[in-house]
Amino acid sequence: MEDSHISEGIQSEEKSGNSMSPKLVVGALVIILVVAIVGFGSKNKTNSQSPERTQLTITPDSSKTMGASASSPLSASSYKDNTYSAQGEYVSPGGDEHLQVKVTLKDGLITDAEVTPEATRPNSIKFQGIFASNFKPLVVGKNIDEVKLDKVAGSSLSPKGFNDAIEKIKQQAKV
Amino acid sequence: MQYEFDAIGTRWQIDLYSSLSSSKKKNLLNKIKDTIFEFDSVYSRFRQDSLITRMSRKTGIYNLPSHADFLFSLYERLYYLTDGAFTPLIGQILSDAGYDRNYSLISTRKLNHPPLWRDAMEYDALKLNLKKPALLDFGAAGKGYLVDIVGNLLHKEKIYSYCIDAGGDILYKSKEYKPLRVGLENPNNLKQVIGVASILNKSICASAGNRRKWGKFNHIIDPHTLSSPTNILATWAIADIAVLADALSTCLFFIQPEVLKKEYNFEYLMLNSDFSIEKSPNFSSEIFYK
Repeated sequence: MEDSHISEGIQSEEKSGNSMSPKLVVGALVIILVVAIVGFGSKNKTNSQSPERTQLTITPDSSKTMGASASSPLSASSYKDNTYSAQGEYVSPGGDEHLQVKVTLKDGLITDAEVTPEATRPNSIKFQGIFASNFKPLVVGKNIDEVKLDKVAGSSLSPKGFNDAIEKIKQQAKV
Repeated sequence: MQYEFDAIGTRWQIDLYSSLSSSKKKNLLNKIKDTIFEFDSVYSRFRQDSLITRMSRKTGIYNLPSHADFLFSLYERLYYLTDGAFTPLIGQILSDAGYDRNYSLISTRKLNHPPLWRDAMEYDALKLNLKKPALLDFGAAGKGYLVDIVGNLLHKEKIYSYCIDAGGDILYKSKEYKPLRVGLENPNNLKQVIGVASILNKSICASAGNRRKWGKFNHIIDPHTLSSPTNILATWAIADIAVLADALSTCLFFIQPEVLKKEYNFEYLMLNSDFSIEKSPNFSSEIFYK
């Protein structure tokens, strides 16, 4: 999906022992999401059953940058840039359900995240649907000089006459 | 090499990724400027002598220049697709709200809903039968269309790698298949971007209410509510041609993207007022999340 932006990333030196693979990072995120959705379901349905198990299957979308990533050290910027998909499984009151989570990491930050409902039972379909549509991360601005850009697309510069008129109106409003 | 100039109320920057002799360079610039001038003299609502201004004074049958066909056909199709929200008949409303030739920027008159397309005009094969006096406005797609026309001009001159940037509406062609990184301007802070889109042999256009705004209005006014939409801050559309990217970025303020996606091949990103975004899965970009 975002492959065109996946750079080779910064490969930090290997440290033994205290290492964590991106799979685990994404996995952890998926667990959080799965817990969130089950929690969401139980809150809305007064269903106190907690998930009995959470199993993860992680598949990187692109093998391009996966080569030596298995033992990146645990510093924030050392996870391999890539898009990862994971399937989160949980047990609903009706039985096993799962949902798909796709996360893009770049420079140690999540740059895109997407939840795809895959529920099969009516209630789970409903809860996953509500969750997926409310799972909306917010964006922030970055200063233009911090980002490498060729161009900027935005609203058209307003003509001088327009700007002058606005200025005049502002002055009048002050009096 | 690069051309930079002001035209149709915005800043133009045209990059050609090849060198030209100085005489050819000057020649080409003149051709580009003539093309823009000719276009403006037909479609500008801000010019006393334009065809559009003359049409606003008198009903009747008008013969339109050949490039009008694509524009009218697109407007008519999008008019029906958006239930009348995307309409050239918005001209009088924009003008009454203060976005007029003199930039009075004060709404002096009560705004009226625009007439229905079928009541106001009939378009067929470069003949426009204007049945009611109407001030037409092609601001939602005209600039994009002009960018395409300038692009065609460059093609005729055998220039195949270029970037035309008309105040942030961009058409980019690269024979070498080198992608262009385009920042997505943060409408609340013009020194910032909320992400970077990547385009190649495509156009990207944005619509936002942040610059051309006055009082409670900006240049995007919903003809049904007679107000400027506030739930969406900005939209971006990527399409093969600039006229489509330009028009669709405005349509996104009025209707669900899925409706447009069924009809047109394009990608989009919408920035909501809470700074959440919605985008099509293939909008090639890197977004800065909180």
